[in-house]
Amino acid sequence: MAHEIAEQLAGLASRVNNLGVNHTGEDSRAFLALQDRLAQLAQAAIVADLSDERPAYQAALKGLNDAIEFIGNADVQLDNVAKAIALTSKAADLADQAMSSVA
Amino acid sequence: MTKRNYSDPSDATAARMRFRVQSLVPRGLIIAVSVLGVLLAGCVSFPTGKYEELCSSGEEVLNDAVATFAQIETLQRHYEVVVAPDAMLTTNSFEPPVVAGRPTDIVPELQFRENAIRTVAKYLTVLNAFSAKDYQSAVDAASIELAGSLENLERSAGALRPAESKEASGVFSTVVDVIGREVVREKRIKALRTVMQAAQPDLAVLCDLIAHDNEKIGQDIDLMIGRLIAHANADRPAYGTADRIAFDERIGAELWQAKIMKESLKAMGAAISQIPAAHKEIEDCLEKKSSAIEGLKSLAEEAERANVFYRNLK
Repeated sequence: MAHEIAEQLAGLASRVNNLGVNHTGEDSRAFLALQDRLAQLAQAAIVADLSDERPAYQAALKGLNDAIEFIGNADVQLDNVAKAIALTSKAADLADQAMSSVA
Repeated sequence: MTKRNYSDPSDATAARMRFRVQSLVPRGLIIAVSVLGVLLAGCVSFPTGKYEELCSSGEEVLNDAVATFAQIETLQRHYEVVVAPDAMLTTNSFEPPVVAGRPTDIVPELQFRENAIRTVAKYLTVLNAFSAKDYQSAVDAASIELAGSLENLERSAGALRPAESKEASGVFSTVVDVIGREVVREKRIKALRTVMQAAQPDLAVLCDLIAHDNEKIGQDIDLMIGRLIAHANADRPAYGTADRIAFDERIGAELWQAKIMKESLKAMGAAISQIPAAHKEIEDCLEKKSSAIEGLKSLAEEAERANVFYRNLK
């Protein structure tokens, strides 16, 4: 809705601009002020249109942030493969120490 | 308590252990484990280079967005000065006005979108880093450490002669290394598939929204430029005066800047629109099995690598 209003206001501002070109003096200044007002309304409609999309962005951004978090967890899991081997190594060292102390 | 002499060849247990070790033909075993590993991995070719390209695309879009949005912010500041009404100056004279209860300031929306693009770029960077991270070196290092520990243990146990315990620990550690590397490879592919499948719809929505919104931001530039030209026409020095050329040059530079901004928004929109398709294509690559020749090649490479690893332990 805001998108349609923005386009219509932009079109109207452009037509008033064409009208203003043919005038001089005070009339021209009045047209300028009117155009500025129309342009501001069109800008407000564009900003409103952009702002209305924030919930859609936020929902999709949540999905991507979840994906980033998932990769972080997967990274830890892959690091754990080497850690598991290192733990086996430590277990062997401990067994070795135990055997040596018994001997 | 009588201590058993495990190193005595006459000891039955030690003899059985030695027999087992001698029965293992290290090279054959390592190749067999390598083959098994590659077959378990399903011969999936890993598209590391494509992740890098995707990551670079995301970074380029982000850099363009940061630069272009900063130029639009500068344009808006100049625009507010030009269209300011004829009134006493106040601290808010050049602030974008609120019209009919609605703000006209586009900067917060630009910043919001810049952050959204930053998240897309971050996701692609994290994806690339995860796809390229060298987990295998850590597995290799841990396996080498394991070989040393096992060798000490076997020597202490006295079940094997020194040369045999070195060989046995070498074989075992090589097998652990090969399997460990394949576990890493398989877990990485599985994690990438899962995360990319889950992120695909949200990535598509975000990229579509960003590309579409760039058109709207382009309309805002058109409006501002339209007003700047109208005011310039009202204030333009007379033809033939010295100020005319300088004035026109300044306006010409502004128009040129605006043109570049709009082209940049368009290019950014086109680039970001292609990211979801590229993301899907890479994810599809993870599903596809490589050709028989590629499979054989990776198999031979893994067997060769495992043999080098084993030889280095000796």
